[in-house]
Amino acid sequence: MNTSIKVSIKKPIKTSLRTLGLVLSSVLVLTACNTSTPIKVGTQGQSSGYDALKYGKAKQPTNFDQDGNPHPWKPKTIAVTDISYSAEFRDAFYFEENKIKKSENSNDSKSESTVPQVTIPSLQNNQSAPDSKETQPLEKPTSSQRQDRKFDDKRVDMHTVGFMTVQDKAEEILNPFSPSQQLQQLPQSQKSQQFLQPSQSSPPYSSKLPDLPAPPAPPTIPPAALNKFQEQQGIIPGNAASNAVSDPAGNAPTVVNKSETSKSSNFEQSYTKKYGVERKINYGEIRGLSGPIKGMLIKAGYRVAQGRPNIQRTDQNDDYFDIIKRIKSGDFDGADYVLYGVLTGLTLSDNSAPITGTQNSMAINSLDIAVDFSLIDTATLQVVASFVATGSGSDNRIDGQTEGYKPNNSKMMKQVSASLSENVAYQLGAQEFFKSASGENPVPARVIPGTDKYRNDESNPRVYK
Amino acid sequence: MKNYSLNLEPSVLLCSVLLLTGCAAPPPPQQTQVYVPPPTVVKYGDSQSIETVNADFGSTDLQTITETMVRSMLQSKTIQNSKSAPTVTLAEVKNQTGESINTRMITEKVRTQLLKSGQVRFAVSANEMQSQVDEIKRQNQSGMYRNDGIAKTGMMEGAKYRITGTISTIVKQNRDMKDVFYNFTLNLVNNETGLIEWAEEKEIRKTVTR
Repeated sequence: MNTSIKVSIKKPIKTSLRTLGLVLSSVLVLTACNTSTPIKVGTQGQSSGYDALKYGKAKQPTNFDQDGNPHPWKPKTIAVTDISYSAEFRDAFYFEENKIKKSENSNDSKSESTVPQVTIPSLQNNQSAPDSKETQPLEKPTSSQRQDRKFDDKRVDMHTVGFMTVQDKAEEILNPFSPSQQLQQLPQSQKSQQFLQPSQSSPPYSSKLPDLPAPPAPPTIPPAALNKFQEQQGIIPGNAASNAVSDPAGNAPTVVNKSETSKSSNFEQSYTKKYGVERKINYGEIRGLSGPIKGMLIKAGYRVAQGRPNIQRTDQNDDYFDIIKRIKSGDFDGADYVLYGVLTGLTLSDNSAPITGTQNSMAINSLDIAVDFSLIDTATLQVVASFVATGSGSDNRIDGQTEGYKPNNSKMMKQVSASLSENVAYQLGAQEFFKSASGENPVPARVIPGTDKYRNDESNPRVYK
Repeated sequence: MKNYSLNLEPSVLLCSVLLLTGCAAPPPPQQTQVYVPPPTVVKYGDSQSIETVNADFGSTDLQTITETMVRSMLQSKTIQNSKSAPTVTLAEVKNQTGESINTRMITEKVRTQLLKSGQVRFAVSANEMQSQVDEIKRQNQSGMYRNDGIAKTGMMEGAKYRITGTISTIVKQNRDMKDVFYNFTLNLVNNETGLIEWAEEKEIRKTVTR
């Protein structure tokens, strides 16, 4: 059934509608002619320096509350700390330190070439011997060292105690009237200590370092171990060595043939001990990686404060990473948030791979890091956002390995920091930090005059000549 | 009796000998058969015309296969549903026939037709990498170019898909007849997922009778 509705408008009503239309049109014309800056509703579409294409439109700031009233914007301040690291990563960033260590190692190797050192495993079990770490050159820490990191800072005695030649020892053994012959009658432990400490009565550097504790006793060399070493070196034949030492524990008096002593006269043994304080830095901060992150936050409209450097104290353990303690102690005064990062992974690879279909190869040098970030509200100590961001950089070179190309570390670090900041921005956007729960969002970034963005911005006054 | 002596210079004697021998008649020509090639005639023919010289793989087969493959690939969902022109590279087309067929010619013809359509972009294939690497190395590592204008190392675009295929034959013959069956298959493989996104085959039968 078709129903038709007829609406009849009476004349007075028609007239009033016409009048209303005229009034509305005049108002519209007047507002259009107004030269004042039009009130913009919201800042949707304005550039905040935040890439909406990458992180989504939902992250764009809105400076108006639910009622449509302009919201007084107070920009938040974020303090960005440098990225902290622990012992296992320290050697990767301090190239100079590595060079020094290498040179130390090379010196050691030189000394070894001139003066062959005795390294007897049984020495390490001797209680009177110093810790093996003291005599070993600095090396990259391992996981076991990480567990014992509180013992890494220790005093190291740095002076040469004495040199001993096996020939002297043999002469002493063969000469029954020499003072050292009395050592044969002493117990083995005392004998070794006295034999290897000729300068203990007057240490050459003890007057220079009076405040240092007494140096630990040098290692004793049991005859069994010494003969074993000589046997390995080919100085003493195997049977003779076994005959010379009847008791493997070293309690029996040592008997050395004259022919063996003549052979062993070419051998020289030395024991070097060091004095001084050696400090291994187990915790630190990587400078120069968080710059692009700060730049990204500034671009997003935040105020960025520089966090104070965190320097490792003596005998400090994992409390180095106690960011709450640092916040409470006022390291980040004035900051609403602290972006705290801890290095969790680092890979520095250097390899060469053939390029398929060619006769060339590519030298691939890459640096990849992973950083655990926490964005902490300084007022409530609440973690607002938390994520692991990665950064990677590479410096590849065609036929670099054959041409002896050395990778550009600066280039790699720049790439790493740039990609890390990109990833941080993505993660912060994914966790909706840029659209904070309080409704206070970052202000739009300042549009630089002279740029295309400034010219195309309708809010800027235009001058026509 | 008078003695007449003739004093002649050796050089004059030699010249006279040479003159006499030069004026001598040439020896009669030997009766040898010299091959005279037939006069060559160069003609331009229709490149699209059907070639039936023998049953081997020929130009008509190449054109037929290319046309079929290109039409099918451009109509595939993989190409049609792509927001932007996907990047493709040429991989190997295996020749599983007894003939010596340049399979590269087939894939390059397919590539040319696909590129002309504008719906696909092609990355440099493995066979063309040497020239690409040489050029990049020249620009980056010779120290002769400005940094802002060079093609940088590590900026090559990887192909999303690769084209692989096979060509195989079944040949049967007797005293009077030879039958050759060609089967050409082309696949479009997604490099990331390893999925074969598209495949097409073309069958050609050729017979030779006496």
